Amino acid sequence: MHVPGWHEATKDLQDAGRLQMVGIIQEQHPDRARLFMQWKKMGWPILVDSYNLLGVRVVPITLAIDEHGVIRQVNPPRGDVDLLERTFLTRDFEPPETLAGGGSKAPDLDSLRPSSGFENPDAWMEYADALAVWGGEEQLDEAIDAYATVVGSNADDAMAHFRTGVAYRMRYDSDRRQEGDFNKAVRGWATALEIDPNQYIFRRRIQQYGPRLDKPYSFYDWVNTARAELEAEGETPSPLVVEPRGAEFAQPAREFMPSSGPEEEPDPRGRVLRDEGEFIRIEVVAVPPEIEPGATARFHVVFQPVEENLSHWNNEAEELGLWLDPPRGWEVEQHYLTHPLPAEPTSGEPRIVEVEVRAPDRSGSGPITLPAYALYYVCEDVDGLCLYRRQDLELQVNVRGR
Amino acid sequence: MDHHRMPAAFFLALVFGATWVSTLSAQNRRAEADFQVGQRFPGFAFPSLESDQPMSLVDFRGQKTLLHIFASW
Repeated sequence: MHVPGWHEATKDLQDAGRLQMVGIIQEQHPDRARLFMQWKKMGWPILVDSYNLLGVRVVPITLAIDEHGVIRQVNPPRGDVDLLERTFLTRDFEPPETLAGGGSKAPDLDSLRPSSGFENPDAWMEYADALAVWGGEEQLDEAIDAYATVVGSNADDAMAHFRTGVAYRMRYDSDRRQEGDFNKAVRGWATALEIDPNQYIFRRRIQQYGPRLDKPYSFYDWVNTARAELEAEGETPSPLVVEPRGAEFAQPAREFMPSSGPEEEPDPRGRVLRDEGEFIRIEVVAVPPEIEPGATARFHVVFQPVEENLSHWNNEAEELGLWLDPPRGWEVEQHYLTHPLPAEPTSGEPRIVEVEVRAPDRSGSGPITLPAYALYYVCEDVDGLCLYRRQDLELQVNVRGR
Repeated sequence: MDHHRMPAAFFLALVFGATWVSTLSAQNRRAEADFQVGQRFPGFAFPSLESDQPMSLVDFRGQKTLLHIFASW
């Protein structure tokens, strides 16, 4: 791979203090880069640009930057240390007339907040970006509102849509999560990509959670290899705040693999008593939210025990199951999907079931609904009851007209 | 053609042209990095992976740096 190759080739120069390696990562989850750095034994500083404040369109990019902060080479020949030595390291560069401003001094966020509404989107973008860098998780709500103000003043601002999506997904992964956050993240990224379809950082972010047919590669397959190799060396792998999920591990596919054999519907007569969302709250996210006829989408169905009602999973019974009954012509990978049970007898974690569907080539356009229902064992703490319940839900994706 | 109106039309074109250019640059603010040899690398800060304190490339001034903009996927 590009970056570890450079690391190996320049190790002596780094050790001798002649070359400083620095990384800027363009990822939603920076802790994964930490594990990657540990695995590849790369101990240099990493800056995190999840919001793409740099505005890059592709990665990787390597820049040779001189002692004054001026770019002297863009993508130098990979690993060619001799050339780097001759053309960069042994040269003394003249300083520019003015050095780049900025630095790592915290701004006064309150003074950056524009006093007025929509009329100054640049100032709002600056405020939102400052919150993204300096506000942390505590100020994610403000960052979302500030990016939303930029989008409100210019609906064609692709970068503002993308950054809104990043902020929503960050909140989804945090303790401040609100219902609909993941959906809003996907919508932000999808809108950004629609406005600027050649922006590969936007494209990769949505592909990370999308169907296998759209994938250029498995995004985080390396995580399991890294952990195994680090453990074999006696090291403790750096923990991940957010574990990669099915979509992120999914291998690219050339063809959609629909369910072949008959599958038995678990509750064909609808006799299992219903949970109307009292015990388990369900959120459905389609990635992408809009597809062409004949294209695939991946649904993320998120099940969350309702905290206010003290409900939790009963893990001593059957697995959580999801049955899909797509309309005529629609294909699914599987009609019945299950989520494995954890070892402890009860738990309250969110559970995510993912499934891919394909629209027929001659699909009607507009929002299409795939009826589904989930079956699960859930307990409520009030009377200590554990119940087997069914919840009906709708998986919806928008199909574009031809 | 009314030649007396030319300066006004020209003036309006200038104003609209300037407005259009400024709107365009506002929309493209940080929208696309175009790294060129001889350009100063932007000095703004990013969160740091290993520290609570955000960092900037300005922090490495005085050293020759090989910067990699990448992703682990």
